Amino acid sequence: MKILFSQLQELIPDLTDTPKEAGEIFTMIGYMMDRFEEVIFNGKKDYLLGLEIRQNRPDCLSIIGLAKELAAYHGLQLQLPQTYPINEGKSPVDIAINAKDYVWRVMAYEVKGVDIKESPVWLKEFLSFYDMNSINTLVDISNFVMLMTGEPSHIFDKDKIEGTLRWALNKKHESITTLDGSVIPLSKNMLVIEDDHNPLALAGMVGGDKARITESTTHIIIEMGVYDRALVTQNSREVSITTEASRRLEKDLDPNNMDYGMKMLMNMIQEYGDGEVVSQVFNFYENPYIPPVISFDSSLPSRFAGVSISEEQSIEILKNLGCVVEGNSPYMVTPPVNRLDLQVPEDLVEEVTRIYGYYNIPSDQVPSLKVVNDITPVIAKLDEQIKDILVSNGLDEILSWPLTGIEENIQANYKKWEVIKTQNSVNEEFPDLRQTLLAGLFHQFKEYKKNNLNHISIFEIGKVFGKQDGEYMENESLGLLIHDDGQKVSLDMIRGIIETVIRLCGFSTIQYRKSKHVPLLANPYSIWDIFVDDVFVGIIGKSRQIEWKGNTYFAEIDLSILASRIGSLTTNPIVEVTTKIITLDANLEKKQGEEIDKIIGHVRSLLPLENIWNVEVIDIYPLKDTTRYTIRVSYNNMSDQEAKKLHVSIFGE
Amino acid sequence: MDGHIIKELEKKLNEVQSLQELDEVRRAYLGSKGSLKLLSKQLGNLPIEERKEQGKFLFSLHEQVESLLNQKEQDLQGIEEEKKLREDAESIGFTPVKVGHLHPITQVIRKMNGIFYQMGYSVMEGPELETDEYNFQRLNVPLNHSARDMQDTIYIEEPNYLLRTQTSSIESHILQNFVPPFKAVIPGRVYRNEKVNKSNHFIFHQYQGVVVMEQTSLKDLFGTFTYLFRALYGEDVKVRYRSKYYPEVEPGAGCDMECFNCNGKGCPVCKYVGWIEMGGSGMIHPSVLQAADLDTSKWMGFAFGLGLDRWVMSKYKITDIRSLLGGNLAYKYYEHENTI
Repeated sequence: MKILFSQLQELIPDLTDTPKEAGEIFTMIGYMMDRFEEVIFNGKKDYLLGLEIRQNRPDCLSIIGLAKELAAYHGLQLQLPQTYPINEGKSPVDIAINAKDYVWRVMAYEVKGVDIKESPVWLKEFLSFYDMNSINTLVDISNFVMLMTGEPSHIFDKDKIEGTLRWALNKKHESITTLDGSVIPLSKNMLVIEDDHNPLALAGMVGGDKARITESTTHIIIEMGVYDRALVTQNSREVSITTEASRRLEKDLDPNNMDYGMKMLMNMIQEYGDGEVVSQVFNFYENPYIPPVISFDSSLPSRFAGVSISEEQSIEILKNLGCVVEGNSPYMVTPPVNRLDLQVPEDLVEEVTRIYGYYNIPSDQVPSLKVVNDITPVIAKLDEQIKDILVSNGLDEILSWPLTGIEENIQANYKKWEVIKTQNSVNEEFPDLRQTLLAGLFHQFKEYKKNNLNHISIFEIGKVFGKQDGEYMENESLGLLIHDDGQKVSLDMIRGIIETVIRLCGFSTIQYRKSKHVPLLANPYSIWDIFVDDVFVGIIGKSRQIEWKGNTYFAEIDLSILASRIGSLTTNPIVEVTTKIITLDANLEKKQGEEIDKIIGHVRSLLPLENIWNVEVIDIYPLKDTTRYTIRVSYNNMSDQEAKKLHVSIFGE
Repeated sequence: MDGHIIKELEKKLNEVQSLQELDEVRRAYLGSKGSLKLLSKQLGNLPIEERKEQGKFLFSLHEQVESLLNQKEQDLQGIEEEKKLREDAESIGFTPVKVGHLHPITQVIRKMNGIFYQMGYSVMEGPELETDEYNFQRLNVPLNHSARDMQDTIYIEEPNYLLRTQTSSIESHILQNFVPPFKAVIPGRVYRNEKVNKSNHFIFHQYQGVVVMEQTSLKDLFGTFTYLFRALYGEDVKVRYRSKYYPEVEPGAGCDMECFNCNGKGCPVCKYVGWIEMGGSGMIHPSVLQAADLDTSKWMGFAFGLGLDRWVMSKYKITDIRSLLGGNLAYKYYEHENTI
């Protein structure tokens, strides 16, 4: 919202701030100044202040609203522009309010004999500061009053209205042609202003071409309305139109302020546009806004601020803001009628503290807050630890897009999850939520290759998504990719990294089995599922080599699954080695096709945990129908004889 | 005679090249048929006095011979060892070792986590695919509230399922799932429905903090936030707090840092206002606490949040936000940031 400094001076006659000081005060009490410009207005030097107005203060989307804030800060009187009673006519305005649940208040007058002409220079100049082109006297006055009071209004050419002017939820109109000639499709139940045949305006947003005023217009209906903000917001989003009116009406605009706004509007129309008010006021306001009475404990501002704010200071601030304060603490506080945002005691606390000034609250004292329990989840600790391991192994971290192209997602996917699609992403070429991190890793890899990077070792930790049995799934995942144009990387290298990660998480039984679901980007003869303690946690494999030379390997493991199992782990890798490690070999003959990892797992399960140092396969020899595996078992904490006895009891002589 | 033997031995030893040859020489002198053995056998034929004399002489000679042989053996062993070591030697390579890197966003998060760990905070995380309830409603933003316009939402299934627009959504989960008191920070990725170009992205990274205690205040909040900025930017950094509306907090506060480029004088970086907006904060709104069934007469809290992307881009001189998030960002082979 922009405001000229001269307007602040007019509305607050005792103001002594410089323009810059006023801007700084606005910033500190909630309206950050993002523009400060020296300008000429009415032939004099002036200053234009640009202030940020947040969603809770539609009353400050007006010059008077902002002046009230500055006056309250200083405890100065506000002098509003004077208005005069309207000489009303006797006939009613032909208006019907059908959508009573969505129309909070509508005021209207019928005026005859208006003379639509060019606006005075000051008005044109004034509107130019707000990037509003001058249209004609009536439209410009309507805009001026909206800027001054915050109340939007609309003017219809009465002679172009067929029948009754009606506020209704749209039932029959398919579209409306707006003032600038655009055709906007209308949905059912949009709040429209219509006559017996045509839509004349999208209420709270934009006027229609049908009953627009032109230079030949002499007979008008002028209206102000405040509507259900949620419906205005919804309609505005649906047609993607935001106007000065909708910016205000999408918030809790004060319907009581309409009396003052309408009076200013009618006074100015009669001053600059002539005309005779031929109607009584139309005033639909079945549920007037009555401010709440809030019980206010005067110790609350001190409690929330952490510094002492006296009862007197609190009450003075509330009174300066226009609140009626009665009784003793807890006081009964009635906010001013234009402050629809003040509903609960904490709202009043905010008012007191912001005017008291945050700069009066020390900000250089580190709090000695109570020591509390660590609630950091396992997965957060795991992420941090894994990243350190991977960086130590020479891998670089990347962050890729969780939204992917359809083809990239298909190429990378190996999960049974259904893909999740976004409904309204403006980046239409990336509609899918990634099902694996491989899509992003390969995308990044290809980007690097385009730029001639020949040794690539990257990883990412991030979320992957999918739908399973109607439920949305979201798991934390770790993806790795290593590539070298020569022979400097190998499958064993990436397996080593993955095993380091898994083992450092505390798991010792890692198995690899030929993949059941192979991603299209993989070499189908060189890909394995990774199992930890017999649970599937991810895949490891080699990429298809199509577009580039060298070797590319990848792996992905589901950290959510690992994290969920870490909680139940009880491992203790620390031992005191007091006896020699005894190493003994054994030959096992197994049917071909039998998983070696299962065999090792079985062997491990037969051995007492406290006596196993290591179990490994040192030789594989294919026989006619079987395979012979030479297993090397290292025992610890046992004598030679004990180890041999145990070894023979398991493997035989 | 002894001088002759020793000289002869020394001459022979000079010609010896290996331990094997040395062994032959040793046998020739000290072996059962060696020259010293023969001399010793001849002693028996001598008269007793002369035998004693010659016996001493032979003993001395034996010691000298043995000493020379041992010395030669040591020399040869040294040569052999040296030869083996030379054969076993490797040259140092010239290919630089690949050094791994954390992503700049992670590096900044790590630094901030470190600061908050010191203050006893936990580090939390939560879902990115979120419900409207946790992303908005529990944070005092009901359906169709105008505050939703502050955040363009990417919907998965409108109106209930969406990609979280703020890390405050995790605050909703923490408030619901943990019994106060607690202190937590939440680094995370959030989504906004924006077209991707050089300066806009649909992904942002936020750093959120939430504290719930029996008694805390704006003073605690400001003290915490200021400590963070001092730890990151140095003791002399100037920070200010001003009133600012956020639906989930009340009173709400905006936090600005004096422009590092112009020291508050005004320049293009700070849009000539002398300050750079760093984040938002405030006391947790009673509606937010009540939504988690927390008794507002007993518990109060503060929350704060700041965006990381612009800051990281400025720190690492990254000009295109698309590079930061899955594009051209790469790490030089040799260089590594000193994080110590």
